[in-house]
Amino acid sequence: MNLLRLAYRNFFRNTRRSLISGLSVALAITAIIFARSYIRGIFQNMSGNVVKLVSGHITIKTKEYERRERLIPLSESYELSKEFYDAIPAEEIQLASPRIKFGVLLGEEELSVPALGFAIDPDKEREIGGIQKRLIDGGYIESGKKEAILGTGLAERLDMTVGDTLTVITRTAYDSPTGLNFVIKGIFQTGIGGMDRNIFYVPLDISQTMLDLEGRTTEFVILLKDPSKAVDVVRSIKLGDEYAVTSYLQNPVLRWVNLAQAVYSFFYVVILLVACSAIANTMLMIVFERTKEIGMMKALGLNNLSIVGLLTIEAAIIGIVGSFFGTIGGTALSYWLKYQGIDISMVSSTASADMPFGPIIYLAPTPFIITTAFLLGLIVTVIVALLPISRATRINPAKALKTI
Amino acid sequence: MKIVNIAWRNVFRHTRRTIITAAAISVGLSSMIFMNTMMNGADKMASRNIIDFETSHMEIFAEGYYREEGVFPLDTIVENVAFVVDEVTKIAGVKEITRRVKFQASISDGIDELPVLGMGVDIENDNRIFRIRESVVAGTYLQGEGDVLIGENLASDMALDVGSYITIITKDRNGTYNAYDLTVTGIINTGHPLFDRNMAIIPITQAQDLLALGPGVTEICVLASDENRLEPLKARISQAIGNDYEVLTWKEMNAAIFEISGFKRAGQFMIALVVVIIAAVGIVNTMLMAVMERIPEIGTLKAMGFSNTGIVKMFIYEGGIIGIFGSLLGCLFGLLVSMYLVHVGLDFSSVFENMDIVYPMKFIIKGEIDYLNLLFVFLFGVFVSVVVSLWPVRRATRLEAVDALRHV
Repeated sequence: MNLLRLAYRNFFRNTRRSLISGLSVALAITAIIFARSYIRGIFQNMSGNVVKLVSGHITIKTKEYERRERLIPLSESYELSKEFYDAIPAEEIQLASPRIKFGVLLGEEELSVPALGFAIDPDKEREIGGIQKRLIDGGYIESGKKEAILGTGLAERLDMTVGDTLTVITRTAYDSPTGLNFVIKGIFQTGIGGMDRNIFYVPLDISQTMLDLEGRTTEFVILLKDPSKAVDVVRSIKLGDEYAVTSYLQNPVLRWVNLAQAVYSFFYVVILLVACSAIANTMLMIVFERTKEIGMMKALGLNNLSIVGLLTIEAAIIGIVGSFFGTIGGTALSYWLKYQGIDISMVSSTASADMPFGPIIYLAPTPFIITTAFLLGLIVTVIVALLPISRATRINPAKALKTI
Repeated sequence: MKIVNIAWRNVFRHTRRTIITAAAISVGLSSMIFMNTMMNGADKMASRNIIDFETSHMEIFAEGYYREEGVFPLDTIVENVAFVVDEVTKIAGVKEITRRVKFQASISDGIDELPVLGMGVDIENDNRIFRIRESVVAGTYLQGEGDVLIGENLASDMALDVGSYITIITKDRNGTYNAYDLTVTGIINTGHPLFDRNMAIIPITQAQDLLALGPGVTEICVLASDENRLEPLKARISQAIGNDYEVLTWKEMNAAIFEISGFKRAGQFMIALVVVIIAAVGIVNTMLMAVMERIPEIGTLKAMGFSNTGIVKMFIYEGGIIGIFGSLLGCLFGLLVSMYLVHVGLDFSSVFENMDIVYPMKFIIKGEIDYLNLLFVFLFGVFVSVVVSLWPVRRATRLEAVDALRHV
């Protein structure tokens, strides 16, 4: 208790020095909280887009389809039988719907624009607020009608707008030519360049007829009430060997972002070490300038452990003050940007559909990020300070008292 | 000179403190150098891929052809090819010239159909500019009509091999569908994702046939003899061929890519800057300590007639010397890490293998050291150290000699 009071008073013996040492820790903690919230924001942004626009939390395809996915082989479809629906645990599910992707070359006369058609169930997908929330012009598609919505970039490339007719000519699952005219009902914009330039949505039932896939699908998408259960639900779905059931966490981009998060942790420690160099210096000076005082304390019977304790508490106070202000700064900054967002539309407009990050990144700080940053600041400070502090144990009281 | 001597000796009064302070700043600087090396490497690789495979130094299109990336219209093409080729060949600074036709197509192996970018190349002289012939990893380069070259990834996706037959389907300039059966003569591995995953290369005469272009082409590629002086050459070419044509350099056509790269650079620079700022706080701390512990000494110097300027100089030199040490150490360390990047590189290819990443390169990043940047980083480190020393030093100038001498 006495040590604590002593250390507290020592902190103010050279307030400016203590505060500056604390400041460098504060800056580092602010930077760390910002960086972690930012990366988590990117992850949420991407996983949100992956889940809502691309693959759902869980996707079911045949293994053969997955292997040749880039070719979009409609021949690898499967039947939406009662047994299939029975295999899906109803209680966990927010949305379960077939989606069919098909490739086409669009355009009239000499114009050829490769595009990707997404056949969706308009009513079911409306509930999860995927694409219909991204409409910027016109309305949404309806089941049973020959209607389509186009990405802004695709509409531009085709020079088409709401009300025009989109002629889709492609091949059925049995490789015979097929085609339909769709009325363009709306234009959507996701801010993800690759999606806006290449994708159009059409109603599922119409497309199944067009592609000779009645009662069948190539992909089946599931959205969960609780995304954290994705892996368990994947395991609980018992389908035949020919099916591949994958969760969104297996998406390569999301895995890559997760990896980046781990790599960055190393970087945080480097930032903190740089910041703690100021504290190490301060403690070095403190031991140096108080040699006499420490000698006196030793002469009065204070043991080495208490002296190390005293100085460590002082370093910890600096660490706490620095981490505290850093945490406040970092928290304020990231919560502000959580609502404000960072506009990266310039980069995302060139993003491909494989790397779907949206135009505005909202930071995603969590109490966990904030507490760990605070603790990390404190712990690294104490550890770094221990090295110079240990010199105090080597002070010889007799010699120290003799020095001036 | 004497002041420098005093400062030099002062630096070593607390060797350990100096080392810690210098080490902190060196970490900040070396991370700056590392990031610069990595970005330079990525940019250089992307540039090389673009120049060596995609666009050469500049391309000539019919006016109005070049609208947006990923659109390959056939309504505005270069019709009078002979005229353009004749005019351009005469211009000084043009090293090589070749014709190309790009078009949107699908290829089919009888089961699956995949949209690809078709490209007709002049078998005779395409290789004087582009490196496609060198990139053939299986089979041979195009021999004549009926041959097609495809990328390695495309070949594995469609399970094609040398000798396989594919059908190429496209619409000609009149909007009529056309198809040709072709034999895969060779498989290329260029390192440029567009070419490896999404491209079918055929002889230009066949492409002109397929698209009903007659002698017309979509673009004429120009290799300059001096790649650093493209703008004047572009102006000369534009002048020679007139307003019916549009000349674009590879940089103009890929502005978006370099914009992203600039954005990334700015982001990484910010991160490194934060580290340097934190290290600078450490310098402030050290200099403040130096001033505080030497108050009586400063008093003595003042009493002996030292001017304020002299004292400020003494401390600035001290901060500067620490800065020079830190910067030297930082540059050395940064250079070492950069060397590793240059010679070994970072391999992200397994992560990005099957993804469309926009950036025209495969993700084995090899570094590229920019020595000018190294010098800049060094000077920046010294500059920051000197500037942040100013604030603590100001206190020393305010001291009265009498008070300072009495200070214990």
